[in-house]
Amino acid sequence: MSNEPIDCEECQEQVHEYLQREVSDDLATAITAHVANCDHCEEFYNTEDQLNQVIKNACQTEAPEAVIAKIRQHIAELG
Amino acid sequence: MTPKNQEQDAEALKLRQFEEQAIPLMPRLMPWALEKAKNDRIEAEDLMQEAFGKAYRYWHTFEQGTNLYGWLKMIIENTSKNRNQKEFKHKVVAELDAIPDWKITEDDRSLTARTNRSAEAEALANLASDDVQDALENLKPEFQAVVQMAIVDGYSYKEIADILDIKIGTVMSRLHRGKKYLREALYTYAEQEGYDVSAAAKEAVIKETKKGKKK
Repeated sequence: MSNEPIDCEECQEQVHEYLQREVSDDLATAITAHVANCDHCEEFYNTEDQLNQVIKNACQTEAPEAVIAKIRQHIAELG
Repeated sequence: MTPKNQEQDAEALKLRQFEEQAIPLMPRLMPWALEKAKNDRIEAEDLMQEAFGKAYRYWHTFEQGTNLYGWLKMIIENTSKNRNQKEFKHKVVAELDAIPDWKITEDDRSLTARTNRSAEAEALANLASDDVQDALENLKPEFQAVVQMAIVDGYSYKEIADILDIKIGTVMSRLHRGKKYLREALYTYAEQEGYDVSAAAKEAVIKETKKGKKK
């Protein structure tokens, strides 16, 4: 079962798990091999990867500064 | 009452709850953060700050009346793990930077730069943060929490399932559906900004290509 090549459908179904490192090593290898050889799936992967990046960039906003300042103050008081 | 006032009230309530419930647990959690930081006081304090900042951001996902100490401890543990991984990545990138260009192989390069972007990826990359934040805010909170925890904070499915007290299958389906919604919403923004991604956006179907086919 392991090391079997996978098709486009399987590859795209697993793309989120692949990106989140939630697949087994064997499946990851199979997906990497498939993506490397399939333009359509490579594009699919790149778009999902880019979407993750865009979400990350937009969300880097931390807790509000006033809250962070309070947290810092309380930590300092722990001595 | 205006929606703006309601928003401010909700924020004030959140802060009050956080100060009354989470902050008092700090003295009990600090020794534990110190242990995670290998007794480095400054690192432990930074870790506590980052973890409590996260706890505040995810406060709406904490189920009132359940074990807050355990919840905070879990967040500190995950934050510590992510901080260590980040440190490792910085080290790798710094080492790559130190290598003269001519020694970097194509494989190394793909770690730091990705060039061949499709039109869709390009359109996504050029969207304003405001558009993305808008789209995220339109997601139902339970989807939003999973998307942020998985993608922004790098929590594993298991960790998300534990923190939100849901099944791993639910984590997966919320992540998939959340991202699908975001992709479609963002394509709409991109189209409004003049990118032609309509074909790609509507074609969320599987397409077999010659290379991808078995046999």
